[in-house]
Amino acid sequence: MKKFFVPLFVLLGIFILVAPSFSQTKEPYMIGGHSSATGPGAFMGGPMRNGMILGAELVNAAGGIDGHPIKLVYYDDGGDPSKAVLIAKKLVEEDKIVALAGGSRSGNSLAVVPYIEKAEVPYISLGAATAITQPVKKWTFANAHTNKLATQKIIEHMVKHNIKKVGFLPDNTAYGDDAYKSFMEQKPNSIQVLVHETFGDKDTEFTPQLTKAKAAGVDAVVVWTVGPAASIIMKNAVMLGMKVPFYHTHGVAQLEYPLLAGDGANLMRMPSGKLPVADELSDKDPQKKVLSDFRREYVSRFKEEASWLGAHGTDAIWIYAAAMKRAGWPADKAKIRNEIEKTKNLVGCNGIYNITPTDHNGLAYDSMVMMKWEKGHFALAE
Amino acid sequence: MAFETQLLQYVIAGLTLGSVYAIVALGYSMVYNATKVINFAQGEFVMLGGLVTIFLYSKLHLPLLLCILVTIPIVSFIGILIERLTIAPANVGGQDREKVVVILIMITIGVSEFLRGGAMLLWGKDPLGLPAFSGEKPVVLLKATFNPQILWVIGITLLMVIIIRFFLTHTILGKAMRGSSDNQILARLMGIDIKLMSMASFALSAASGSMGGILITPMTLMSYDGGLMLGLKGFCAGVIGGFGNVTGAIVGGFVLGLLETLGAGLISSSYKDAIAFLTLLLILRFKPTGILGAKAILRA
Amino acid sequence: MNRRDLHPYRGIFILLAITAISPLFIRSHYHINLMVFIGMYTLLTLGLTLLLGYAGQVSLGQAGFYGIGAYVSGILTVKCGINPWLALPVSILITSVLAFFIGFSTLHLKGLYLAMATLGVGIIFHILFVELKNLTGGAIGLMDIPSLSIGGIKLDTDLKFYILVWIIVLFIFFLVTNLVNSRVGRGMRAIQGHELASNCFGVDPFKYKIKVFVLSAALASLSGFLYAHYINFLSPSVFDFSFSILFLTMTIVGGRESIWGALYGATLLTLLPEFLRRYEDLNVMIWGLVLVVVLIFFNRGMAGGLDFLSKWVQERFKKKGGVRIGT
Repeated sequence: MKKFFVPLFVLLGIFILVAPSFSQTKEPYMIGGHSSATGPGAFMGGPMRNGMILGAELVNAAGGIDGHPIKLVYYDDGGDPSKAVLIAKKLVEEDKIVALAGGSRSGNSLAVVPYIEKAEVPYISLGAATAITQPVKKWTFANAHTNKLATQKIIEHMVKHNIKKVGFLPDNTAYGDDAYKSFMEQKPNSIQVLVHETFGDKDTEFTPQLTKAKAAGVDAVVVWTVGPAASIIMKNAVMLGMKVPFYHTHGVAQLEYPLLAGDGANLMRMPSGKLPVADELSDKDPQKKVLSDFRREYVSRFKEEASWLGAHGTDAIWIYAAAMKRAGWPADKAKIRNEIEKTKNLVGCNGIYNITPTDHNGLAYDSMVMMKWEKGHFALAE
Repeated sequence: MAFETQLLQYVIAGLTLGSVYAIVALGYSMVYNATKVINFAQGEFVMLGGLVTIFLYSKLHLPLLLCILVTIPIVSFIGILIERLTIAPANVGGQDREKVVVILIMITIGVSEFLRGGAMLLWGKDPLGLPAFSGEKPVVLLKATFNPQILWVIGITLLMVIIIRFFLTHTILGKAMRGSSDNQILARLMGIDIKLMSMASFALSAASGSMGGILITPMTLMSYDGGLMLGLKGFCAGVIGGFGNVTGAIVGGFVLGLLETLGAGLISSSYKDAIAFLTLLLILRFKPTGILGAKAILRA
Repeated sequence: MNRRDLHPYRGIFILLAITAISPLFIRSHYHINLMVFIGMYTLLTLGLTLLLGYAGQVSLGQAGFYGIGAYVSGILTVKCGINPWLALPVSILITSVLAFFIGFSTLHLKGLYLAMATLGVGIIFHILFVELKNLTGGAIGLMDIPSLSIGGIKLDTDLKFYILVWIIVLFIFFLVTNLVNSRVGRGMRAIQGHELASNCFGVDPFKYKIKVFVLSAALASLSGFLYAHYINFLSPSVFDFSFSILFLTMTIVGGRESIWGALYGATLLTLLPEFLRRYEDLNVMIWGLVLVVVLIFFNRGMAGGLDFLSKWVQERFKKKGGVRIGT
């Protein structure tokens, strides 16, 4: 008996050891990712990283790109632009990626751009600064709602509500600065910016700036920052007895901001991708299903709020996956780049992407809605 | 809004900020007085005060007052741990204090990074809040309005200063603490336990720092890196008022806070930090030991 | 010139050998980039080492001077079209003048006043980098800074820049070695030992300290100049307070009693984050821990540690009656 079973077990053992190689998948597409998961802006970099990871996993779960899985190699750039460039070099030359996504902070993306253009690797930046895609550079794309788009949405809402006198309070980072520029370039003459005051994104006291806005009698205030300041400013505003609408950046379309803003939350308005109000969308909206599915997957995978930050990262991977599928195997950076420029009607979380050689962002005006906070949740603002 | 009302708003905001800076400066003073070390992890005590209370309140659902009473000893203990684990071992006896001090300061910087990194892992990267102590209805004063929490902040800060000042000047332990930094050898001869002084100063500064964190979190929220800027500005406040001087810490704190808000309101909000640090430079140029400090000692 | 005369330079020869041979084995841009940064950070740290080791003073504003060096050259080359090599002396001059004023105002006082002053100055410079938008590009940054060229060869690859940086670093080490072994250097060490006594010997501490401080600022601005024309983009976030702390950390960890400490510190603290990267969110905490541990146990820094090690080795050989190593 023994003579029979022992070789059988040995064969079984060998089979078990060797079996994984039977399910050997095809070679992966190497995609590089970087964001600021630590350091300044860490609260954004982490979820963006998670979004990229989820995007790759979802694509792989659906069979990859014609059987080839995506392998995401991610490094944290710590909020330092020099490190971001270093990481880009590491990813391109050591990890041999064929495409890069990331740069949660605009400054980090901007630092990487010169290198990535020289290295001729496609780059989808997650930053929102207009300067990333304007002027258009050959290899660099950005799938964020730009400040230009967001401020445009705000202006439209202001005109609709007859708002004429505005106080603009941007933070002193590239993000705030860029938004102010966009707002000033796009606003009609009927809107006057009476007060323009900046603040530090780590400040805790905003009474002086708000007092000036209140004293000038503005009809609305625009606040441009992400981070605790956005909530604290609303608390300060309530303490000053201000009742005008406060327009924020699309970056603030996350539950924690209104939740921490106390009574001030009711004054908040923000342009946003459709994710937070997905349930209110009409069933005919092609984004509705994508958003609900995304939200479900993200929450179950990461046990945290599925916000636009994660969606951002996921979209970037989806854009690559679609382009890579069209470009075929073996992975060719130039072919992938060309295919990205042919992206049409790709339903993502941020919106429906239509990328062209002159528009490396791909998001249209209607990818955003105006939201407010009502009875403890986000809602569409009329 | 009348100009006087605007001005009053700026002043109130300045006093609020000033209280926080004063608390941090107070912490620096106490440690400096006892050990000649500039503890750059001071801001982190404020951060921990806020975050530990948030943990006790939000996760364990303890009543707010109990959270506060439990948090302060916890953070004080962390302060003692820091002193025992990092300052004491590096303090090689016999070496010239001045040379060692630089290393000790660097160590506190390392400790502050460690604490920040730890807080990031434990509490995440998002800001968190606490409920206000006495509601959110704005207080009105001569047409200016402000957050009632501010009264708690300013009130308790002043109370802490009075208590600590009394402690340092009228109790044996306090006087021993002041004596031990001037000359360690003499102090030991007098029977003062240097180790105890060092630990006590860290414990005290951690306790007061954490109280500060608890006071401001309902207004300003707290996150793992909330201590960074506070540590820096608190240090400046200390220098402005007179480093090592307890009353100076308060004066420096309020001066810095008012400069910041009045600067933001009356001159330019973009440059408000520059105004504050420029004041620091002017003080260093004309009265380096600070507003209430002793005369500067010139080298030979 | 015999072996004796070349002796103080032995470190430089070793470094020359290492940096010359490395590119033969290391090809990836990523690693060359790392070594370029080590070079630049060594210059920054060297200034602080001299300041601390020979004048006993701490500067908390090194990043500010780093930034002035970078922005002055960046602005002159981008906005005024001036040749970078002409912008360099202007950069260094402006930085040195600023440093002179700061030193002059505070170095006659006993205590850490220079530290406090440099803290304020560094932060004010950073605010200016952010707010003077028309000059510096503000928070968005200054783009399209030209690369350097030498005799028609454009230094736009990592390897070419690596060669430039390390030639400069070696040259600076050569100069500093001379300085340290000269009358001036001995004067500075005397001040470190005992100020009052050195004063009696005719060494004026005040003058020397200002000179060292200006030198440290000049080295910082040189490094800033190199940075601007390497990355071709300037963002104010690279010149904020946390970097001043980083450079000071490199100084102390590397060891402030030897100029080579600057190199050791810069090397360790540039490579360490790369190793820690795999720990993701844990790396901040580990960094702090490493710092504290190194400072507690090696309070003379790495240079002190190496010194200790070489003496220990020498002792062992002496016991065995072997040949003495080194001097």
